[in-house]
Amino acid sequence: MQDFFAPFLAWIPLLPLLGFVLLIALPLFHLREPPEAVSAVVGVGSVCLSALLTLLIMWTLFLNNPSAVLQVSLWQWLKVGALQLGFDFYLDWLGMAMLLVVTGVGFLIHLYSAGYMHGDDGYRRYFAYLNLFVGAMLILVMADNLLLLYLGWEGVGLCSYLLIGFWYRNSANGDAARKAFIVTRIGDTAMLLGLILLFSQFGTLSIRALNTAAASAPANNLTVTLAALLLLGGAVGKSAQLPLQTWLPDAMAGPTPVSALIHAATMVTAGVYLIARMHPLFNASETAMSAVGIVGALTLLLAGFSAMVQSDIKRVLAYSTISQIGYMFLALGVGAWTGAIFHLMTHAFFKALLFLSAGSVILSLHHEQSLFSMGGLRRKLPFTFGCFAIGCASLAALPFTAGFYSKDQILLKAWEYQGGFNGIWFTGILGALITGFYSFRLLFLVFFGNDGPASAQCKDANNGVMTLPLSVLAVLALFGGLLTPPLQRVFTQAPAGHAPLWVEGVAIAAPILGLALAWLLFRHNTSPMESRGKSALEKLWFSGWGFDWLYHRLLVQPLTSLARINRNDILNSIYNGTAFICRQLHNLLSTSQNGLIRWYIASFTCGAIIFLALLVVL
Amino acid sequence: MSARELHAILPLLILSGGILFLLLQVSFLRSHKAAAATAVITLIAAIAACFDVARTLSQSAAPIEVTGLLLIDQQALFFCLLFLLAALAIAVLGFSYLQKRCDSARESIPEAFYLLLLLVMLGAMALVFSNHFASVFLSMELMSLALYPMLGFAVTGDLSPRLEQMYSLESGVKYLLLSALSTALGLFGMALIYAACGALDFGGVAAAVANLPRTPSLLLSGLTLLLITLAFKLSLVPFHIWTPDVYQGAPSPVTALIATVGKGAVVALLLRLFTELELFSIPALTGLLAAASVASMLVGNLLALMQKNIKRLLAYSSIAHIGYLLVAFLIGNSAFGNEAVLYYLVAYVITTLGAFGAVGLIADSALARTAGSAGEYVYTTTSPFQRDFYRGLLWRSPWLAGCLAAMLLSLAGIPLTIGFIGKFYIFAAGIQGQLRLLLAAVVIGSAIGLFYYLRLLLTMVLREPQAPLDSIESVRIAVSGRLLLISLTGVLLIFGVFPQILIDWIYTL
Repeated sequence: MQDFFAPFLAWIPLLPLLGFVLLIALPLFHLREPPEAVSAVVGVGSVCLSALLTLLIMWTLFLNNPSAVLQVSLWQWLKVGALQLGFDFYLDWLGMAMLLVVTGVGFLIHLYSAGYMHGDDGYRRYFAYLNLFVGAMLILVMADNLLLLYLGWEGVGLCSYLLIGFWYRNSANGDAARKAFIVTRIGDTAMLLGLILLFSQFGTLSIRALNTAAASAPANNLTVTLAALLLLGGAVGKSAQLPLQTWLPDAMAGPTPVSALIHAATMVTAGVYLIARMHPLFNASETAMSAVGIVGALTLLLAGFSAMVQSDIKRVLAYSTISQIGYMFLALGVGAWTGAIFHLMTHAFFKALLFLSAGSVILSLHHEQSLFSMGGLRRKLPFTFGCFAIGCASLAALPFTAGFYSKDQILLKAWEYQGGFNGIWFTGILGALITGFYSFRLLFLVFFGNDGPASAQCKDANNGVMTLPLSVLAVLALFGGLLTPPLQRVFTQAPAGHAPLWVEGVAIAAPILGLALAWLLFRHNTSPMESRGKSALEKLWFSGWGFDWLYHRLLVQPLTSLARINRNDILNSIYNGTAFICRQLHNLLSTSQNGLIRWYIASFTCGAIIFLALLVVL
Repeated sequence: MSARELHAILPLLILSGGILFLLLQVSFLRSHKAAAATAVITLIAAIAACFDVARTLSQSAAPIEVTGLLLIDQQALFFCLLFLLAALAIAVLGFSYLQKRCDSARESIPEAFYLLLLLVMLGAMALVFSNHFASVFLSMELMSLALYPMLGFAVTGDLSPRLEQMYSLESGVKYLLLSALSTALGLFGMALIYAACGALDFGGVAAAVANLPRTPSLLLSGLTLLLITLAFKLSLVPFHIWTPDVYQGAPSPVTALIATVGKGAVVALLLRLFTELELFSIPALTGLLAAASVASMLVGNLLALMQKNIKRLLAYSSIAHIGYLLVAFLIGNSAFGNEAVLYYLVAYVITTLGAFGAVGLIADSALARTAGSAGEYVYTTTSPFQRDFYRGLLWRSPWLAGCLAAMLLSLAGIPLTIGFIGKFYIFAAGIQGQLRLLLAAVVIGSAIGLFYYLRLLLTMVLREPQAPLDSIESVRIAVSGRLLLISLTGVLLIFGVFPQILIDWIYTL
């Protein structure tokens, strides 16, 4: 059975990649842009097939077998001395969970895009990039060695860049794309250093071999700690965690389905996957573990505060994504591996739902994104309202939604972390309260109250291919909590114990309290935090704690001023000088080619004399 | 002369027979096509004879000496085969060239071209087989004497543009004068060698050199003078100065002939001379060659740098390429150096043929009949050899531009082409022989070379922004020319991707 399915495994990433190649190569055979239907069928179809294949493998091999493993070696990739790397895929339940999210949610978002992008000039280009992204993400998830994982890692980074700047005619989008690329590149560099360190220390880049080696290494080994921290650097960059979180809010410049797929459901959770995949390595170092937990806790709070005051519908969601991934990091830090991956899954459901319904709102309002121009939309967009409400409830982790189950697991594990009340747990609870506040503030501002300026022109833009994914995602966001992946064999962790009842109560109460606060503020002042002047704290939160300002002052400005000093590149003069010398020599030598036969004979004779003279010298 | 010896010189006999037959044929039947057919058949028969002789040689395993003047061995046969194949290609190019310029109703004599081509081949092959200074001189002169009228051949094609005729004549005269000078020096050198050693056959000279306690300066001077002659034929710096003028003025097929067969035969002779006479052990001679090699690489590439005329550019680049080839030659009497020289020569011949062939065919296609006073052809554009003419070639004729691009990339030594493997060989040989200075010159020369090759490539890709795609007229080239260029490109890629085929072959020589 396993042998039978192993070859199919390779087709899961290959299909979207083939779709990409086909879409990119279409103009070679046909000079005009293909009709939208062709692009859509190729783009959506490839991911759909990939999702079906994943489901088939899940159904036949993984469903009743928590320790199922599938692996396939495609070919030898690199062979340099001790560095022997193959194009090898490895799939266990952790990978399977990711695979289901990437292909399943990816397919739904592709389907939604087919409607959302209708009429765009770059329709084919859009689906080409999106397919390339899915292919790269699948390679990342299924890679059996860290370099192959890195290939996927860079591939998704590239696609993220291409899609954030998809509407490149607006220079602000280009800036946002470059910012995302450069900031994540800082993390990627750290990760590459980590890879090199691991290879030099353990002589392999195979994930399983490294994990075994790290587990048997002496506790708190310096190299292991350093390597884990460097990998954390990569994860922090990709997952927009402190201190590299600044790119994600700007990344909302891309089309909204892109934000849903790349910047909410899949790519940004790659950091979480990386740490979960390398969990024995992180487990071997207490420092690294606490670093992960602290990064997560801090990010979840800071981003949560920022989300409370944003005025752009997508930026609220962006900050909430940062904050929710902060939860996952927190979970990883306290060893709640299963909880982190579970939350990753449910987050993918409800955040994709939120983004897609936000996309519907934006499209219905003719690309209006400001919250204060909206209001009262529940009457005009009842279906979108329903989806959005379900998404918000799940995001806020109201009881019996998908988000509730996953977040509850994390909070319980955090409580256990130090055997009772601790800072990490408290941050989590506080974060839950904030989450409740900002998610319902968003819901109220958009769908309740009086009509905003833009609401008047509202025209429901949902069509068949958009409502179907929204409905499926809404169901998943509500009942996704039942789909716990059986990860107990992947992570050998003790099952959660029993916390006091009041702890559970607090966890349930916090988001509801947040909801109530948001309602109170909304009632008290129909448009909170807009009409009255902003306080200094609100301004600070609005700007994302001034990180952009800080980085601009600390890094960008010194660099640009240095560049300005070296405007006439000093090193370049070497090359210009070389070119100048070559040109001069050319001119000098060219004068010898004057076409006069007497001169030619003279030069021949001189040459002969030189040869004979050299003979004497040599 | 035994039957075995007669069989060994079968390729030469076939060529001579072909020449005689063609002479007789022309007296009875004046036909361009028939003459071309005879030449092609003769060449193919000579190729077959080469294979036959090679088979006999591989059975007996010993080289066959013929009358003390010629020595037939596997390596020489390999060279002959290469040159005969090149001659075939040149016959095709020449046919296209003459077809455009000769009018049977007028007094043009296109048949002479094939006669001269066969004579050059006879000279070149005899030179490759030479084992005696007398035969060296005879065959070299045969080759040169046949080349002079070929260089000026545009004059006989009475429909050539007037300017082309003048350039062609200039080319022939210049080569004649300078070649005479160099031959005189070479002959004097041979006299000195005879005075020093008392022998003129390679074996005798080698024995005399081995017996002498130290190399006498008389012998050294003689060898140096001979070297000057060879350096002139190879257009090594400082004897390169004739190259651009002669290459530019000559009809393109003749340029290809003199650049491939003309130079290749001299390389073969140089290889045999240095191996047989064990001249690698004389530091003065290798030093001279090294100096000439470094100077050729630098000067050749620098001269080509800003050159706007394609034929002159290729002429300069051929100076540099022979400089590269000498690096492999200089690592001495080792099997590896030999292998590298052979491989590089094959690469050089293929790419040079392809480049000059493409340039010539493009120029032929640009010729158009006008109602000029003398009824001669003129070029539709000002000059098809200027770089500007190649602007946007890719859009006018994608396959032609593709072939030329492959040639240029090969000349620049870009991977997947035979030129890359050739250059790789040069590097490997240079490193094995610890020739640091020479390698530095190779690197600098290649870097400069990349500039002008890529610039030409870029010119071909550029498109006039206003001109729509379908309004550009395409380049029309005969099927034989197309087939030739495509097969040359194919060979270039095949040996570039699977070099082992050729390496194994050379290795067995």
